[in-house]
Amino acid sequence: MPKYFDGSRELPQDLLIIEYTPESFNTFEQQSGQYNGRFCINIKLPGLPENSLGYLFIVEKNNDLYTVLDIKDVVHFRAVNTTYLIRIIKHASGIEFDLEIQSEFHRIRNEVGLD
Amino acid sequence: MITITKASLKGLIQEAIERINNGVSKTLTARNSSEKPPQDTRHLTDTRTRVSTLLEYSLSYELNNILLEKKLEHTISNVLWNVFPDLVIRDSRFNNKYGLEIKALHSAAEEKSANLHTPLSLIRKEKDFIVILVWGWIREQTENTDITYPHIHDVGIFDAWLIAKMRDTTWLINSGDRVKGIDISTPIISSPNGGYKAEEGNLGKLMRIHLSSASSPALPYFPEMNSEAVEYDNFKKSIIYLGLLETSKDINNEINGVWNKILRVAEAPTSATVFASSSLENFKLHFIAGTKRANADWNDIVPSINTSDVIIQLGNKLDWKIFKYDEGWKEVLNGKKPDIELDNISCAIVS
Repeated sequence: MPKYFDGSRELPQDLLIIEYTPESFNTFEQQSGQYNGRFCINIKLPGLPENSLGYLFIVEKNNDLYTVLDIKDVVHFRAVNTTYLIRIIKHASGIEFDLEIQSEFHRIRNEVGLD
Repeated sequence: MITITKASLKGLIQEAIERINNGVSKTLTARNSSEKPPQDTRHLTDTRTRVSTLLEYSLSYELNNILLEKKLEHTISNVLWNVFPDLVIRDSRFNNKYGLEIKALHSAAEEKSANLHTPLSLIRKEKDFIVILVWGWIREQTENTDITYPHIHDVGIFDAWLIAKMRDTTWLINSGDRVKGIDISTPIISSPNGGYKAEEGNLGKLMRIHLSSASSPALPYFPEMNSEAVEYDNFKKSIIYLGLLETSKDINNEINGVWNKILRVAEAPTSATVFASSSLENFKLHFIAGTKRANADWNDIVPSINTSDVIIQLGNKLDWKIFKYDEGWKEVLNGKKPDIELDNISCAIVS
């Protein structure tokens, strides 16, 4: 696998850490309401080490809509609402497979030229 | 209309493999046995890459023919832009219904280095499959011809999504003192100089993917992942044993012996055991797999061994050691890559 980027990159300073349980996302709106601008949502699945970042999602929040970027600042999803963001997070972290979201990831992969 | 499952796919793929082994492999990728390919590492790697590509193409071609012949209303397309998956199964309206990621592993390669690095988000659960073809060189002599061709010995079919989930889970658990995470485009690891660097290619080596015993049963899809992990582990073990058997045959061919399989099991033994032998006019060569205890004697491991016999011990990564009797059993030569050292091995055995 070719390295996605050379050197090192920083993550946003603000982290919203979600320790996964089947009820985790019931309060997501309240939790994310405390953040604005760019922050990182970390999904920590059961059994991961204390220091693990788990699956991470860099987002930029503006008027309750989210842009989802990767660590190289490549934009994957633009202006999605909370419900759609939760679907993206659940799908990409293996919590809930979602064929429609997978298809979007696939389309975006071909559009931005990721390996 | 058919619904593809792992089981139905396996039947179709096995039929395609039979056609490949008995058909195109014996011409398209065959050579006259007297034509010796270059033995240096670079050419050996290039050869394996070309064989893999041709087997993948042959599989798509034969599978497509089978679907058409059986009127199953599906066809196969190759994905031409070299991203996951390699092949797509399309319905009669040409919709992409299922994906096949083909990995061809040479049984005699010491490091079977195929990867699955595709992010979980890009894989379809129960629709995308990893198809692992395990191949080895076979020599076939007839009255008029003596050819060597790549023969597919075994195939494993796995749900790609469950394998990728297993890969991610174990990689995140095995962090040591580093901080690891999986971004939507790449896995990342804390850098000693601060910040995070992109993972460098160790994630997803097929032969290393497993489900960590520290995985929590509270993980989403744990029972399915665990069941796939058991099947995958058994398949990996069978590949390792196949590598040992194929290497013993290659060595046997080099010294013109009569090869005999001794151990009829599905996976390599863990403690030193004779798994095959090669009979020559004046002596026998015993192939051993598994770890020999420091205080164990070769006479106990190989019953009725003669002092004129030779022992070759093969490790799971095909590293090898040759032992001969000279006032006791002594190691006379060792090495790591038997496929490029066959001359040295045969000289050490027969000298």
